[in-house]
Amino acid sequence: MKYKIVSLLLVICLLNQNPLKAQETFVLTEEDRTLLKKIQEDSFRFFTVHTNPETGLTYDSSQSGSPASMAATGFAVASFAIGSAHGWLSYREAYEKIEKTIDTLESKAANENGFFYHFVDAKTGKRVWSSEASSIDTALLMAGLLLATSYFNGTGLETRALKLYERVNWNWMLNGSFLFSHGWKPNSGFLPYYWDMYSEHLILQALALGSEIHPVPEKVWREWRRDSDTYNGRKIVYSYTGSLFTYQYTHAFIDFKHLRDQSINYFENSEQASLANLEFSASYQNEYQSYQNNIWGLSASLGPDGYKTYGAAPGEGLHDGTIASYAAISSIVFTPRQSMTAVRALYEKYGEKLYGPFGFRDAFNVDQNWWASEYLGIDQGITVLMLENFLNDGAVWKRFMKLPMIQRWAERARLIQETR
Amino acid sequence: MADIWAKMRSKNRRKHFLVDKSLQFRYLLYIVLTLSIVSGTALVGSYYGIWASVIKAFSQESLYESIITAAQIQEYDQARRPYSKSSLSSLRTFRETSLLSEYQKEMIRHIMDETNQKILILGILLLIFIGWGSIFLTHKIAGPIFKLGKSCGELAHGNLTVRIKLRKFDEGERLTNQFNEMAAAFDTSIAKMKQIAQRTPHLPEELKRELSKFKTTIK
Repeated sequence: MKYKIVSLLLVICLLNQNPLKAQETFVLTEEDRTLLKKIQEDSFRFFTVHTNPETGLTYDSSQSGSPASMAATGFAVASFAIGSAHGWLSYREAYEKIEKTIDTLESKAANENGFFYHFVDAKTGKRVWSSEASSIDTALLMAGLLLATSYFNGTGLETRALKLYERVNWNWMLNGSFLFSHGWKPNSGFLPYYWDMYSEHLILQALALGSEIHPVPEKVWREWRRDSDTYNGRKIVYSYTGSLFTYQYTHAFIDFKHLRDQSINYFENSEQASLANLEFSASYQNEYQSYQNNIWGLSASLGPDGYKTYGAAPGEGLHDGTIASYAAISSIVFTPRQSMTAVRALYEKYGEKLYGPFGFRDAFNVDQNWWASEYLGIDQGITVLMLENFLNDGAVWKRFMKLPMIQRWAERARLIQETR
Repeated sequence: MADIWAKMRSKNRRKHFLVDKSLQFRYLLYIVLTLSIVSGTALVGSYYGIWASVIKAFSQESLYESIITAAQIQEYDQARRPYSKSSLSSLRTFRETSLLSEYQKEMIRHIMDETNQKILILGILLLIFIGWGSIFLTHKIAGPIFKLGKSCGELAHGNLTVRIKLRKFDEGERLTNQFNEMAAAFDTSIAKMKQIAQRTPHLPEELKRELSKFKTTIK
């Protein structure tokens, strides 16, 4: 009788196991937890060193001469808030650092209708490199600020951050259409590129639809394409490049686990995209040594030929054997086992060349014996936030999902709450 | 008419330029020092404001960093909009160069803006310094002249007890000493006359009245 019950349970388990799912029970060992905590704290340290102490603007890269980037600044603000919760810096230190950033954003940093320029001089906040007033960079900056408000509830910092968010005229960036332009330049006006298909721009959508002062029409949410394709039997609403970061950025802030957009659950979509990314590189293991040893992660990063939007299928799938160090780590909420295996392999096999004072350097290519010497702010940021969600029971998600603008967005986009 | 001008010129012509060497040399030093401070500050300010920034911005290291960053920014741009990618590598070089030149223009503009701001602040500080310095220096002369004028007035009204006291670094010490000596001589002389008049009963009342108009140290 006993054997019969055990056999029955085994059959039920096998029947329930879906090879296309990543969410099998995963138990994090203490050793792995310690390693991930170390990576998170080291990655966080990038922001304390590479943020201008006078302006609170964060450098795009650790390379000398780099300008400040607004997206990196957004991730820095979020990381300082997270860091204060861990005691990596005191509450007061974090408060003062974020206050410096807000001071600059309020009075020094150039902006158009509340949209900040992609690259600015870290010392002055002035636009540099002919960059555009950027929709996505502003959205990531605002996301960082809004997350920080939940850590500094009821303080002047909360009021001021909300004012900056309310200042953004999201409708202006639509340029009379229902799609967001990538940006605007003083000399040439709106860029002729629009966020017209699935990508990291969902955070921009959420903040714009949820705005109380400048809400965009509900139609904006329905306007962009949800193109889907399959890879290895995985159906994915894909981004043009198939770059892993496009499935991660918005998910660092928004918990899509229980939200359905018509028939799409974007959390499951990122889970599938992460697995597809892994399988895609694994299928080229014989051609590229970088893809061996359970290491994966094709995403936008530096490479032997400069910065490229490496990615997998479905999508453009550009790859040359370069692995973005942050990619597999930042998918850990979607693919815990596969990500942890990759992190362990990265650390143990290439740690000597790749691991530095701020965690893993940006990327590497074993086949070309190329190892990045730089850290990029946005790649450090996504690592800190995703590890925070993973290690601390969705700490960022819990705070961000409570924000009124996010709740308004979910309502206006008619997202359906579901239980998984 | 020409004659009158010639006479006036000869009347106003200075025969000796150095009449009080110590005073004149001191003032020469003050003026030269002030001008040196002003022009020195302006020169150093402009050098560090403009040239040092330009030299730094266009140093080999900075240029190298700018070229690297230009390439990276161009790559970011391509990465953001991959569907706009051009296969022409020459076009990419052109974009990088144009980005770099635009950046350098921005840098020069930034340096000029910063320098203008610095010069404005420096100018205001120098004006304050010159204003304060001028008042201080002129007061060293104007103060004693004012006191001398006032004391002469009192002397004219019969107050022979008046003496001029100067501050430590005031000019015209010799002149005031001479004035004080003169006033003291009158004071002593008139006081003596007053005493003689008191002892001499037959002197006319008119003379006594006139003498009593003078205020002297000794009654």
